[in-house]
Amino acid sequence: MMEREIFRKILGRLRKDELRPVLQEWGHLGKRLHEIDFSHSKHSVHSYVVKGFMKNYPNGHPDAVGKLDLLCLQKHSAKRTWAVYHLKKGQDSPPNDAADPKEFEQRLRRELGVDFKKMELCVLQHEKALWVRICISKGSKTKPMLKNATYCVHFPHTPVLIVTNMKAATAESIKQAFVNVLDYDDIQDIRLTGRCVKSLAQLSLNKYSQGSFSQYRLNQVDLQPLSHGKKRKRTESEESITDPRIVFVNQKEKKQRLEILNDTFGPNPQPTLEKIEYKLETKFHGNHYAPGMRNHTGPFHCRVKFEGTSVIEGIKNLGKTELAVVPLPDHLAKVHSLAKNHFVLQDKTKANKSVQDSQT
Amino acid sequence: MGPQELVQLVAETQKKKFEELIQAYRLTGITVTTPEPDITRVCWDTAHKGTLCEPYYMEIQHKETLRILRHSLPYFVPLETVSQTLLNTDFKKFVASMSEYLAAYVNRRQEIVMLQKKYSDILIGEVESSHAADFVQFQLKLQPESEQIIEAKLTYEQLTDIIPTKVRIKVLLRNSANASDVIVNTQDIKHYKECFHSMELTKAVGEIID
Repeated sequence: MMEREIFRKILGRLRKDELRPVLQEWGHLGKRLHEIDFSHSKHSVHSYVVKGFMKNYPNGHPDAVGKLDLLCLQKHSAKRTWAVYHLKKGQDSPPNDAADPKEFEQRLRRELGVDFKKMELCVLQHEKALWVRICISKGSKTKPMLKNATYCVHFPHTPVLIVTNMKAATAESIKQAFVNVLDYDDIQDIRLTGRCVKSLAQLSLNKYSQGSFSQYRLNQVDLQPLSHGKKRKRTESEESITDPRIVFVNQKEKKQRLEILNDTFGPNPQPTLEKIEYKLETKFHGNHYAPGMRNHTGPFHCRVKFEGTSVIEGIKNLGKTELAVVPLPDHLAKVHSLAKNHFVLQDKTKANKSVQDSQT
Repeated sequence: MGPQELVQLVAETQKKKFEELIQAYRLTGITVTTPEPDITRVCWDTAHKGTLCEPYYMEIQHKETLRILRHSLPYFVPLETVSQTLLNTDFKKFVASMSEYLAAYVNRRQEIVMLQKKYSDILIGEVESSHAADFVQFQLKLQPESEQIIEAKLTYEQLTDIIPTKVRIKVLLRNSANASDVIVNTQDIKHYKECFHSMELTKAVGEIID
């Protein structure tokens, strides 16, 4: 049966130690969950799960696949690439948000049902956000396919939507459905992508409290007024080499550099971004190294990509390890507060300045 | 003690006195300071039933107009909407409005924490809530040994509400997801709803189980 294969495929994404808690939360096995011996091989456990489900629901269950798929995704969301969208509101009236997952699901189902006759929809609350799975079938007679599923994360009362890849044929309808359900006017891709949903949310929702101000957001600065403890002090990084025979001649510069970096990035770990891309449309400034470019007057088109496990942390370390001059330029220093990771750098002209002023 | 030591001691004592004055100022709930000449910092200290909770901060630049530079307010507070209307027209009202949102959020959140702590023996599972605590869902037994379970879903339509505006109650039998398995006393349901509509969460639950 097709459903068996789908279940096996979904369950195959989980590690052995994740199976029991996910199946418990899934809830479709009932008492049969306790009959499964999780010490057996994964393949055997999957077979027991499928058999147990089929016994409970001989005719299947419309939401079971969707809920299990979403629960598995929540455990391994970093396996997908996510993009952040911003919902825009032109009028003064507040958006029509729904914090109740069931109510949100009903509204979204009604909205999507206008364009799609056959689809699977599941909404679950996870880590204070609404996680949505939308699976649309190609034809009216075929079942929705697992590979066509689109996943979205919405934080109630915010205009932020984080989405995995959407098929071109259904992308506009899905985006419009969210705009209509949440009572906004438009939706825009803000050019922020990554694999860590938590970090993408942090960058887009806490844009105004990144860097050193993150200490205020995380309540690391002031003690409570009635507390009798000592005032919080910044934890200073200790020198890793403690051999008294070694003398550091640039301690003062090092301390200054670390202070500047601390003021720029703060002492807390940076949100995880795997990529930052700069598209340069500036004049060529390296004439000293390439004298042949001296007569080149037009913009020098170039693309610079930083890639790694945590690029913002990497940029901070560039300054720490003296590979970059400190203070860093704005396009590197402020990257944690700009809520995007694709940038276009242009020379400052009057036209560009007025565009920048209107965007701030 | 030499004169230099004495001067230092006096300076330290004065510094401590100013620090204590600032701490006392914070007890008013809203503190305004000027860390830099053109930047004003507002600090909202929150509390719930006499217990201090976390502070929230905002830094505002004042040049030609007031502009929010940084803030640590929760993302669900409608800051953009309120600041567009009030920041440059009525600053006092703007600060008071933010205070209202923060106080209501902390109140709702702490009521959930208190509910989990005080009634852990009759609650079934965790209390589920949204980040803004404007949607709360939980199940509880009327008595520790009772088979009857109340499933409550509370919605606070405005983020400044501390009493739910929408209350949905289901009465279930343990190990049954079907509400129709129970013979429901409609008067009881009405009473439960009235409790949630008229008092804060923990007090309402206390009233229901008594």
